Amino acid sequence: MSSITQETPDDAALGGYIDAAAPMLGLIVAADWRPDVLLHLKAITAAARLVQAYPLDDALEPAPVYRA
Amino acid sequence: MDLSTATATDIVASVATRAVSARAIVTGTLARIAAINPFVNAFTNVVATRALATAEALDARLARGEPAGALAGVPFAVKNLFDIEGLPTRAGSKINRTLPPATQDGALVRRLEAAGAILVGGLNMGEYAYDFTGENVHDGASRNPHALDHMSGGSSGGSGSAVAAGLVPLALGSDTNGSIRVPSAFCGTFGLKPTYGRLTRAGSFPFVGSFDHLGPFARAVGDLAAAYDAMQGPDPADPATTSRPPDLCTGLLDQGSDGLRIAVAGGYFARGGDAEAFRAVEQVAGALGVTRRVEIFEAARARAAAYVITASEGATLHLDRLRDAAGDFDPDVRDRLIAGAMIPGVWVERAQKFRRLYRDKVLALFDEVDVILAPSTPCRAPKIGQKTIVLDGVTVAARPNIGVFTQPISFIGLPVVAVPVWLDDGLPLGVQVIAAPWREDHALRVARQLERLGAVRAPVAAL
Repeated sequence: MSSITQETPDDAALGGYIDAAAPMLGLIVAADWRPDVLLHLKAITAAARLVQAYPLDDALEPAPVYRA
Repeated sequence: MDLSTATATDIVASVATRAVSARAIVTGTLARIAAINPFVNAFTNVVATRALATAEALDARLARGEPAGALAGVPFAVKNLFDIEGLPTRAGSKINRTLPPATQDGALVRRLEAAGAILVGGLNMGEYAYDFTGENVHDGASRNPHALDHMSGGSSGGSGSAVAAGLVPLALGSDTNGSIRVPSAFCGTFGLKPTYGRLTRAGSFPFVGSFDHLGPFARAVGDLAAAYDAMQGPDPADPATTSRPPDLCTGLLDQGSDGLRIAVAGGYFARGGDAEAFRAVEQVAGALGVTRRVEIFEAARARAAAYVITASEGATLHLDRLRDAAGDFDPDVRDRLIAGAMIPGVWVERAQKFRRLYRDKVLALFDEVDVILAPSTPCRAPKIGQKTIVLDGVTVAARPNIGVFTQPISFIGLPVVAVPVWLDDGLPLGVQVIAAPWREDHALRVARQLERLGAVRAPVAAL
């Protein structure tokens, strides 16, 4: 397993990330949208951490253009 | 002929022999849509004038003795992310309605019409296809014809609804993470998600280029195969489309499952859903005499990787619209896309690297088996508006979790026929008949065998 073992960021940390990222992306997150954006970011973060916990060989090529 | 229950094959037999005119088929279809669509809300556009003109032209060709196409006179409709000449391609959104009208039909619409089929309209869908429910804040939910207060499933909700309601015998949808297989399961229809790259996506509104597939819905396996065969072939207008020649399936269907090695997916695909979802798989396996089990490598992680890539690629596609017209999105879609825009690039690359490994591991399974069976959804169709579902005693959000069993399969583009299973008097469930890349014939043969045995069926809802 990889070293991504620390706790998942809490809501305050994720909220701070949203507030910092939105202007970088040129996006506006209205106050009443923010709770749901945070919920979705939390779900994505959990999914991404599950993926990253699997060790991958350095030589493994990504598959952005998939050939079945 | 009862148009509500006629298969495409029935219609072709009548129209090609001029026992019934294509015009009569289209007239009857338009009347049925007018009568029934208000209940199911499957159609967002009906192209009546065009359909009648197409039918009359077909009748004239047949009267001159010209050959009938393989789909002569078959009315069909398409998810409204397919281009229809003269209409803006709304893709379930409000925003796209201001786009200029499409200047030509999408490639698959053209291919079906070249085979004699007749487009009758565009179908409701979840906004920008980021959906498993069939709900749409702008057009209203497409409804499940077998229980109108229940979800059709999404995002190709109108496609499942229109076919199950007997409005058309054939519809097209798209499937990125399950959007053909989920509505097929909820509405009790057959659906085909071919191999990634098999059918051209030219002239359709995208969602996630890495996973987007197009495919047909029908109430009979023969119809699914006939439509699929008519749509195959290379297309330089879609860079992901294969240059392989078509592998026609219609003539192979009656080989059934003879000689095919079939197994049920265990592990991840045997937990995390209602018991009846797994009973549906057992019923199908029992009909085929299948007892073998296989484990699909790291399916939970594959689903997670698909989740991350979907959110990121979807957000990339819609970034300008999120900046300029965020208030015009369905709020459920907008908030997911905004979160997706914030995903670090390294997370996406890791997910794509994992995808390579997962692909290699799963493809190795097909050295041992030809077909794998798995549930389509973890539950029957929830009620429209229902926000949560209970899976294995745990309450989870409905919207993202309806696709837990479909996402790991489309993640690597495997072909699937979704077959409808009726366990009792309640709503149907679906089973995925999964094959190796480019072996749609195997999945269709097994589906045909199940249909012949009476283990799966797609009845028209009583409306």
